[in-house]
Amino acid sequence: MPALETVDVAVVGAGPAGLAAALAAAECGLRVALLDERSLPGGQYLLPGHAHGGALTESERLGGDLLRRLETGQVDWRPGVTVWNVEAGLTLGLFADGRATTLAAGAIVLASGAREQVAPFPGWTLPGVMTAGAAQLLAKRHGVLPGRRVLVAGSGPLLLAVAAKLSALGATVVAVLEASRPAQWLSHAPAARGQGGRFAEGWRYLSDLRKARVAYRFGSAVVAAQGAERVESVTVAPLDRAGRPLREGRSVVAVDALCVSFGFTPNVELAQLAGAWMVFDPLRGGWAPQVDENLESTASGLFVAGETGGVGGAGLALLTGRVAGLAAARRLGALSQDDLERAKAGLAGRRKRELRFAGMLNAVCAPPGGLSEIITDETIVCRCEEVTAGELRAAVREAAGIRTLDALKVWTRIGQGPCQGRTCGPIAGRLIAAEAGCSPEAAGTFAVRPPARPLPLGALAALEAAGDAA
Amino acid sequence: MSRMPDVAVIGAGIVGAACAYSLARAGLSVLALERDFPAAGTSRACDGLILCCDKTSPAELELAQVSAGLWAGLAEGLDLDFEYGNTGVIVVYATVEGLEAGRKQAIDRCGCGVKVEMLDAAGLLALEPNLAPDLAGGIYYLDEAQVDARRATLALLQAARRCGAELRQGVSVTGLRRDAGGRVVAALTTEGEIEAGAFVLAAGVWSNEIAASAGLQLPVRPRKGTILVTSAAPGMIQHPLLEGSYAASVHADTSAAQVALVAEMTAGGTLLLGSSREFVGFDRSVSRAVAQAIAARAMRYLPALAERNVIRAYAGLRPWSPDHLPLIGPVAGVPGLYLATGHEGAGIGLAPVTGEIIARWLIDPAYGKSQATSGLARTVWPGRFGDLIQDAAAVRAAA
Repeated sequence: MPALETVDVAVVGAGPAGLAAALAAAECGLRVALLDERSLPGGQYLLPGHAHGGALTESERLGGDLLRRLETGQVDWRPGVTVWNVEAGLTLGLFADGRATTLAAGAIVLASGAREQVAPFPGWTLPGVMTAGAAQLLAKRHGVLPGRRVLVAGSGPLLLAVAAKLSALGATVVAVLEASRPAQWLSHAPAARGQGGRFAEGWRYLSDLRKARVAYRFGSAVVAAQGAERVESVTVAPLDRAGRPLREGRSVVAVDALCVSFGFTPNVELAQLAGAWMVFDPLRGGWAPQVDENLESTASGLFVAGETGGVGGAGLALLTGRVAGLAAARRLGALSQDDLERAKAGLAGRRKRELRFAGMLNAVCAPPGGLSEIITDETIVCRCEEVTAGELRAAVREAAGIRTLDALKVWTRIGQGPCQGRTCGPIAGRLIAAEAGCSPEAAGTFAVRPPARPLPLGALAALEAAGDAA
Repeated sequence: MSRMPDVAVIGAGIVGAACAYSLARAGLSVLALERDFPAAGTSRACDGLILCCDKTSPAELELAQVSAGLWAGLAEGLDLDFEYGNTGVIVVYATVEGLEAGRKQAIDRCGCGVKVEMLDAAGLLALEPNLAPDLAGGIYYLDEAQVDARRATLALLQAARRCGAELRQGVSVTGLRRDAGGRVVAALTTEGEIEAGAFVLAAGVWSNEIAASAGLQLPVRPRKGTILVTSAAPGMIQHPLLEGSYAASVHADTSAAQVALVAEMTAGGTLLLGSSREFVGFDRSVSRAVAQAIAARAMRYLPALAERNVIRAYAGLRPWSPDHLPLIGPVAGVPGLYLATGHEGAGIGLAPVTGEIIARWLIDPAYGKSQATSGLARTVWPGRFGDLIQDAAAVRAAA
């Protein structure tokens, strides 16, 4: 048996939050392992090719500094590692290069980011329909465009960034459809204080789009996509105040690609595996781990940073990453309580501002409840197992008392495919809520069991785990 | 249901669902009480095999055969499709000695009407080309079947409701109330007292705490089992497969974890890989070491699975009983209470016969007394464990 590998701090995810956490803990003299599925550090935000034109945003500049510090080797950076298990005893299950191993840590910082939310509509599973984030990744990373005539729809600032990038690479962006209305944003105006940088960034995107004659429309959404082999056209409808699509004023637009996205929701599966308590908070983007002021979850020694703890963008991720990294160091006795408090106090003002702004974005960008109406019974909700909205509605109707995702899993095959309900979970939660007249919170989440990510059986069989094997 | 039901069934897993169905079909008014939702406990965390090949005594085998016949009828008769398949099962043996021992047992079972086909190494590979090439051989049990256990539970409940049964979900039974004569007359629940003419306790491993409130101590213990689920692997196996040591692992009562391969393909194309048996209380978390041990058994027999992904694992709690037979029927000294628990890993297979036995007890008080017709009833009679009344004082106090 190989000796059980241990580190002081294991950081999962090398985006802005993970980088900040890992480097903060390393500053305190700890042995830190930084793990990420990808081959490059920086996450989606600091991908190579992220720079927009000339000027860098503040977060891009700060993130770039962290990437340079990573190169000095003070952190054990491990690319290409999938984390498939987190045990409450702070042991991680890892998979890399065809091998499954375990890694024990004195503290764990989860910074595994967030995923885009989508709101299904008839035709959303057609080739050529993708999330805005996927289109951004293709464009930034590989310079590949999703199509020549692209519609970008949903909500939130990502739509602007993606549309600007696609347009700059030569795509014809037919329009950007923002589901929310200006009035919703204005009602949150105080949250925008101190966010000049973000508005400047948004303004840059908008003016670029205007130069490219791209229409930007509030209060409208895609209600259907049509096509034989792939998407050929989309139906666009104006929304009422509740987000319900209106009958009148619809139009059909010819496209060969459609990018959709409704904000983000935290990736919480690893925290759930560790037994951390979850709370439903629309201001944080949905289900997120409950944390204390040091960002420690209810699972002792498990800290949460960045989008995983609540969607808030790169600026907040850098701040929470640093706090979580220092708090982990405090747990291990590598930092005094006074020093931790001083560091937290120094970041508190910015953290509060960022949190307020994040709350506004999450509240305004969430998929409008009224959009559930356009999901016809034939529309597939769980793509892995091809479970339709009709099957789910029938289960809620037939089985009086079925009000949770967990119970739906007994009635249908939802959430049982390779993605284990990552995509369809929030969608089905909203669908149950609409059907049963309850809140998505009452629908709960799917139970999470290891492996959190698909793991080859042969690798599991040969798991190089030490410690408890005897 | 306005008036008091003839019988209340506590628990809507596969066994409670089957009891509710048999009772309702027999014309009794039935109320099924479920603390969570149907199949929320062990019936959603198991495989769906209906087996005779792991039964070691003639009485146990007879029970299984009667139930298997009932399942075939239910597959025809119930409206909701529960993916019943008369797939047969192949028991595979790595060693010649194991194969020989297995053949002797199989021949004994043939005497009881079980249909088998002996397979040598080549014959085994002809039927299951993805098996490891170095196995000694196998035994093909032709009559075995499989179902989707969750859908089967739902199908039975749906059928019960069509016969007039009522299902109340989200109602947790916390205890039983007995009258001065010692008769169980009401269930204490999170929604108040619920009276019924009789009570069927079908709460699997959670039956004990309810029985304890009536002063009974059941010899049922949770025996945890873990299952790995792979991504779709169409064609990987043609029949459900059992490792030759499976029956021995069922009957080994040591506290050490027992692991023997069970592989079953679902209608969705995913493979369910089991099995493990551990006594670790009510802990339902998936242990890394057990998951690894199951994966290792699967690799031994199906090396082609190496690159297939495990996408999920789950664990369930089998209601173990000391002689590996369920406790079905009335309890001496406690009128009005009937047990339907202790099925260990055979709950899916034995659910229909359990329902039938319970229904017979309730409609025919002479059922257990008639030697000729009650062979099955005697096999599973709870009285075989002696006096289950543990705390007579508590019983009197409750009364």
